[in-house]
Amino acid sequence: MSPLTTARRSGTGTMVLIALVAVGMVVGIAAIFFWVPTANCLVPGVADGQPCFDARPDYIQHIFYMHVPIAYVAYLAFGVVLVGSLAYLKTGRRRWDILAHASAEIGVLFTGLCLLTGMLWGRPRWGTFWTWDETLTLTFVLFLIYVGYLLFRGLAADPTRGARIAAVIGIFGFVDVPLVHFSMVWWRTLHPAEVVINPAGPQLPASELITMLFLLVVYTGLYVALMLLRTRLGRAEEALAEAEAALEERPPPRAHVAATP
Amino acid sequence: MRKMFLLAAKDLRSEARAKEIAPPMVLFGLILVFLFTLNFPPGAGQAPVPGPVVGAVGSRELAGAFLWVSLLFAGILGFGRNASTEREGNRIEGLLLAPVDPAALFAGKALANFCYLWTLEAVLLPVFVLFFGVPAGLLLPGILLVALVANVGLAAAGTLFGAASQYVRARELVMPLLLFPVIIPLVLGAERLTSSLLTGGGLGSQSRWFILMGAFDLAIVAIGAVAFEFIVNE
Amino acid sequence: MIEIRRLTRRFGSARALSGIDLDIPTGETVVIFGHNGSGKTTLIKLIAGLLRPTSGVVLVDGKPPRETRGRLGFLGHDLYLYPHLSVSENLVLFARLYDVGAAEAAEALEAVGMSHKKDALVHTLSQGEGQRVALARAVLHDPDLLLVDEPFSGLDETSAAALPAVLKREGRTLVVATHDTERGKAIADRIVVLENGRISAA
Ligand SMILES: Nc1ncnc2c1ncn2[C@@H]1O[C@H](COP(=O)(O)OP(=O)(O)OP(=O)(O)O)[C@@H](O)[C@H]1O
Ligand SMILES: [Mg+2]
Repeated sequence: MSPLTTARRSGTGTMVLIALVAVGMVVGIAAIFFWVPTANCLVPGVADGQPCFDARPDYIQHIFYMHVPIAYVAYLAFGVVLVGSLAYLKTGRRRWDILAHASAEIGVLFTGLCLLTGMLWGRPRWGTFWTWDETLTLTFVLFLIYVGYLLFRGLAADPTRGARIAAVIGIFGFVDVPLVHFSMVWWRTLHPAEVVINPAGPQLPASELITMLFLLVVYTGLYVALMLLRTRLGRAEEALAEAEAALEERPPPRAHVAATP
Repeated sequence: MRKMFLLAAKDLRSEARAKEIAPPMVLFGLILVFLFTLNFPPGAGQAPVPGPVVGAVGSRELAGAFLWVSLLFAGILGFGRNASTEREGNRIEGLLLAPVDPAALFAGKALANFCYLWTLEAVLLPVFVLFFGVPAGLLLPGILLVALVANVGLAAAGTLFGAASQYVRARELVMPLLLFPVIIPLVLGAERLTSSLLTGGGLGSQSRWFILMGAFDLAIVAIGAVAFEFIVNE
Repeated sequence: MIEIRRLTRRFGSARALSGIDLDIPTGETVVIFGHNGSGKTTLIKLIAGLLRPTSGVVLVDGKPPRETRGRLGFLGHDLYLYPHLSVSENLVLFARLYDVGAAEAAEALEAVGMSHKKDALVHTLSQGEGQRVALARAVLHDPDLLLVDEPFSGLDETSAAALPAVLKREGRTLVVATHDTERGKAIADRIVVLENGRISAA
């Protein structure tokens, strides 16, 4: 099978997936706005149906149907960076590196979105866009680590060596996550305690649970679709570089070769 | 193991003659401690142990943070310089050609960094006590234990990321960008433990930080030893 | 015995070597000639295992070069010496790293005629002196395979004339890359000419 047909085939699969994700997004958003009950305040200790911060309908909470899947995709993506990096160092195969690189980019994108949605929620709920809440801080540190990873790749003098060193960073970055997490949690506890807000209490009504799970699936689909697109781009870049190098090595085509039909 | 000491001794002996790492490091550390002192209310160090402070951080807690931020910033200068001595004149190739385990190369470099950190602290700690007017009796000997656990991780991380940043453009910039986010657990732990010493809390109440820092040390040393060859080999 | 098969090396999209095939039997002295940029250094570093092939293989005694590095001596464009250590401190360090003693280091220094400078710091040496100390570093463990890149550069007449005696030894495989046609031919069992990353004459 020629590389072109392979590309086209995987292209069809990706298109179908993208279409499914698009439909899923629309359905999910519709569910958030029209199906899930709105007035329910999920803050523990606040009576059901009571507004939490002001008297307007409590739409704010609904951002969690986006925020939680986004955060989950970010972690998933960084987990894939770890796996891809390990496999790349073990086998030296380029495709593992392309996988890790793609996943790091998507992970950084989703960490950024996670911070953004968190801030949008925090403004009306906590009264501020930013607070040194431990989860928020952890996410921010993750963002920094993997932005560093991408920056490193961009600045590497030799791409192959850059890829190998980036893999080491990708591995240590992920191993570091639980350590950063605990340091954040313990660091905060000595200061005036934040009001601990548990957004997803265990007593979720069915509509909320279903919407959340549904969106988790949709976002996973989105991640896979983005990965397919991005790794395909990575392979294409690689193939282009190979072709260019091969072209340079070969003497210019002779006239009779060009003349053959 | 023996070769690790040989390599570290080579760096330290060279430094003892050239004096191009430790003196600038120490001087920079002093400048930082001085700058931080300017922001510190006079006599705050002697003030009685602050109780639970609401809405503000006790001065002595802040002092611990200042100390570690100064050490870290000064330390990173040394890490970069220590790594680049092998990069200049491609000397790392000479070491890679010798029958030495890359893990020993890593350990040798890390050991040299470890010694530079102790040198830095040997000067900065007394100055810190003087400038901030904190009682030395509270700090010793606990601070030595805190420094030991912190230095292991800092030296190892500084070696790993110092070596990594030799192979990029703008390496002086890249190294702190890579290093600072990952060593957060270590630095927060050291700060918290130092603050606890300064406010008379001792180390016992905060022992979980030692576990966290120890876990960091273990992770970075293990990954550094295994992964160093992927960084320095072509 | 060195076996090189279809060896290609690129730097980015620029190729330094393409499709090199070469066998060097144990004990032979091969001299590589070639213009600037023809790929001599690249080939030597590939045999030493300092560079990885883009494609193709290099085997030294049937193994990848890095596995036999203890028996390899290498003198490249760079001296691999520490400027703030003395000559003998440098050599003793490398002697220990190669699991031999200080006596071997002193012997190698004697062989290159630099014993009188053993306590000088390396950064105070002249270029030719540095080159000779680096040569001592390359041979102090009496390697079975010696790779040298431009060994004559910077050496005066006397040292250059004394060089073959240091490089050559019964049973040692020697690969020399050089521009110096005359001196190169004098020590060669075989000559390989590189041109644009290919062997043009062997
Ligand atoms: N690290 C590198 N990055 C990019 N290109 C390189 C690198 N090393 C070598 N090259 C290129 O590879 C080609 C061969 O270089 P090499 O150093 O092997 O030549 P040489 O025969 O040793 O030359 P000289 O006689 O000047 O020492 C040159 O065109 C050079 O530009
Ligand atoms: Mg050359």
